Amino acid sequence: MRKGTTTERWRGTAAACCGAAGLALLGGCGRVDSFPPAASAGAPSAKPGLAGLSEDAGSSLRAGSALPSEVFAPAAPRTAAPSEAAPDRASAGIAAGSSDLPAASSGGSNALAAMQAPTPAGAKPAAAPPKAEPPTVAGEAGAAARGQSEPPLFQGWAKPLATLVITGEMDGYVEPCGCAGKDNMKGGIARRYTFLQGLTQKGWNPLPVDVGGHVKRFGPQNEIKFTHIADALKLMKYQAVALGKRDLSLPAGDLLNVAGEKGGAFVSANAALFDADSDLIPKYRIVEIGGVKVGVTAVIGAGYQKEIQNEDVFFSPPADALQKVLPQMQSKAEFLVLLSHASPEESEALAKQFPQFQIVVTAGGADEPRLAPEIVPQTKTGLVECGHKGMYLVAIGIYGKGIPWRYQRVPLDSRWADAPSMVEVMRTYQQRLEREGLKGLGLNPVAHPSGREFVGSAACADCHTNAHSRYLETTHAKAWKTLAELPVPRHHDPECLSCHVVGWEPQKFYPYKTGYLDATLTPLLKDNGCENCHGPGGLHVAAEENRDKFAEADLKARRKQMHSDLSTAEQSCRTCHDIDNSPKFDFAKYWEEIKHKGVD
Amino acid sequence: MNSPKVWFLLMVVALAGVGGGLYLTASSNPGAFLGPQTVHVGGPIAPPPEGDPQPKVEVVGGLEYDFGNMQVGETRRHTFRFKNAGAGALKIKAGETSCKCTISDVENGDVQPGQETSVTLEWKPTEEASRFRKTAAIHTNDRTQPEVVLTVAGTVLRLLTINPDPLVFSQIVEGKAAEGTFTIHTPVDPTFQVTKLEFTDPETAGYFEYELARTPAARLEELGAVAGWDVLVKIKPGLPLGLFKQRVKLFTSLKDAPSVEQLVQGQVVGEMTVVGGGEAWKKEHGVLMLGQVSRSQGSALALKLLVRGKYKDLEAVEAETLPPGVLEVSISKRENYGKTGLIPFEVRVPKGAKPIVCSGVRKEPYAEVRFFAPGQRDQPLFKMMVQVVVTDD
Repeated sequence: MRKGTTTERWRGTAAACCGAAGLALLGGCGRVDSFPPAASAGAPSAKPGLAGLSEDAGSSLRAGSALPSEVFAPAAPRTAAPSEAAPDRASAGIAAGSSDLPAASSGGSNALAAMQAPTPAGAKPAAAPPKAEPPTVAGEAGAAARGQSEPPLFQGWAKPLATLVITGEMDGYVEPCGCAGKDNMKGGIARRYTFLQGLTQKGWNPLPVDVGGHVKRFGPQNEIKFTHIADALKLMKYQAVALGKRDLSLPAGDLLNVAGEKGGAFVSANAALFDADSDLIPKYRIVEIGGVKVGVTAVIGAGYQKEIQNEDVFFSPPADALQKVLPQMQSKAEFLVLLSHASPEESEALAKQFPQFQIVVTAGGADEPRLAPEIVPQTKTGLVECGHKGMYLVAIGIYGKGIPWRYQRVPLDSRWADAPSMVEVMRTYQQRLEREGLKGLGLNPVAHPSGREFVGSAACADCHTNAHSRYLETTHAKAWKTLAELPVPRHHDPECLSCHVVGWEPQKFYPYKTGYLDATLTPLLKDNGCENCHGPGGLHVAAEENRDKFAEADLKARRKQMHSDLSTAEQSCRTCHDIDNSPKFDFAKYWEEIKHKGVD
Repeated sequence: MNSPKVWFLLMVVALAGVGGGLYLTASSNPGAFLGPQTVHVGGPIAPPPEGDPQPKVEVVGGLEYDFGNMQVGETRRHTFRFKNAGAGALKIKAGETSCKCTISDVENGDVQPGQETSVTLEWKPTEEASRFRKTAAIHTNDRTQPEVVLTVAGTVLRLLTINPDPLVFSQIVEGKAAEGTFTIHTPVDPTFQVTKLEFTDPETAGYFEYELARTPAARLEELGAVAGWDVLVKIKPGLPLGLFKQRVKLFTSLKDAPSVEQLVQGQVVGEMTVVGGGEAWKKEHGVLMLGQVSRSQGSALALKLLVRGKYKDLEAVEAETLPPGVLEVSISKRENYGKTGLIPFEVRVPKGAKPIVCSGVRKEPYAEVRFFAPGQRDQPLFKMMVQVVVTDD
């Protein structure tokens, strides 16, 4: 073989090195973890995430444009003016999952320098919303200013010592809200648990906490649901759980059974059972995890206390309670968290009064959490909203003293598979509802406001043959079946039945007299039948079946009662096709699928 | 070795290796395990090749807009200005929104260097969801920002709001009166009036009264309202034990909301009640459902007696069971919490209990546990029915 020239040998060496380097990169660093990892407790593979969902962390700025003239007396907007907002974000230096932040493993002191603790908002504010600037590597201040793009989840995060996982205001939505196809919806404890298990497996030491708002209503179903939710939180190893205003409206016995359990995770600094000084609910918890000691306490806001009529629960002002517990917590923990089940305004005031808390979680915020953390002015405290209905959670990466925490909003969408153990919690809950029955759930039928009685859609078919045939072709005619055939059947759940059978109040979840009771007693009232839109047909049917006994005017009047024009129809549709259960509802389009009119 | 083909192949291999390695590095970050990722290289719009002039997206005026207060059914729009601060053509297109109520219109998906285009978000709340925050993603071919997320936020105001809704009385002690207030308020009409009020459930309407008063200014400010009325609901003693529900119909001066309904609900409890027992204790019926128990196994269930009102000073209780020999009850020391006491007790079917059916139907009456003050067996304070079937296996 001919020996090459020097140049040729250099070329060859260079090429070989490039190829080798390329191959080394391919082989050496290319382990792309998939989720969930195979070892996760039997959870099936995650489905692909929905492309482009804009839920990942990125810093954001308020444009703060002038608001148009208002029809209503404007409420004080939650948003700060741009000059206030900008320095909080620009100077915060709080990493928001920015893709430009170097991972802690690369960059060393540069990485730390990039993640500076926030400077107080007394620093010079920007005069106007900052322009977007070319991205730099040098720091979050730049990232905030330039309108950071949407990075993937946890982009640039080094492995934290512990990950505070914040949830709240589930409002009883144990599964993704509504039933418009789970792939289209977010939330649910089953997905939440899968996420937590993923963190655990990767050694990110999740520390789940909840700001309360577990149930939305009063009554036996909510008492039962509260118990099952508490079981689920225990399985998920929640370390601190607050009680919301609706939770504290439950009977004290239920609160005692669940929240008063020895060694349980429920906490409240300012709500006590039976006596102001009782310690049935601990005032705070200290959790050591990943070498970090985290202190968590909770309060129910003064504003929300006014909405609770429960003589067995004793309240104190949040600030008074925090004055007492904070010194105890400070002596035992280095990272302090306040779960403030209060309005954002009240929570912010508490954050200012008690800046010792690194994180204050608030209730009453918007339906989605922020993309980037909000720093309370004049403090270094992050004010965190967790959104509504458990659709999101917020993860805070804790890195130890002097190192800023990181923030990531996480949508619980269909990329997260359902954890089987949580599916079982749901199944147990549904089975309990079945055993209780409507009577056991305290659901006694009430008179329909019209005074009329339900008869079932089959009675309509005698005269309205075409309309009834049309109805049978629609999904309304299979509504009951869709509940009964779910993997965890829901045809004994009043919260689902109310829109899937005839003769229930759809938004308040109780039956009317002569409405559906169960599939055996009232088989003709299954499915979402004619009378749910047209009103109970008893009088009309009785008149039509006995025409010789009714005057023509009376017959006409009863027919008119059953008639529904389009605008009434749309209102009727929306009582079930609400934002939860039918997010894509468009009356004009949907009407075409069920359109019918008149008598044959 | 001198062959151009060989050189070419080597370069391709090298570039493929480096490129592939870069791709996988980008995606194998610490967070990758937590779900499929949007990878910057190769996003929804491909960026120009590396050597070509690159676009640079800027959003003039910021990424977030607050609509302030809105009404259900009202449509608001905001236009975000996208500028190309780079040297190459910028391409943008609408991506996903976090709610179908937000629609993005992209004026011009192709933006030359130095030029701007607009992206309009439209928001029409269809439900009174109070505070909202919605996001919309815009895909770009800027390799450093393949996705820009816009946010709109605000508050949806209701014409009328009731706080709290419903009005819940968690427990009213039997024989006692109770009061609670709800506020009905509006952000719209300072002359708003409640013209009439009715309790519409006839079964219990006789126990309900009300007083109406204007909501104080300070409270209106808290609520963000311009006018409101406080409705003090008074419940007379005598409601039967158990759950109750009453509907209140309020007639108003608002043309668009001439009447509205509020729910008042709660439960009436005795001065001595049982807590605990999980599903087994049917408090509405006063029955403890122990179910089927094998006499060779036995069973035990821990509960507590909650004592208050006229029983608040009752330090201890004794219990007897009927029929004899089926159940045992042991009682522990009272726990004190102010004016309330909790007396723990345990109901047991002992091992070796005689087989019996106490189903509560026909000729098989429930078993009973009777509680009485010490030495006062003839005056039971509380009776608990027990459903149990003791079997012989």
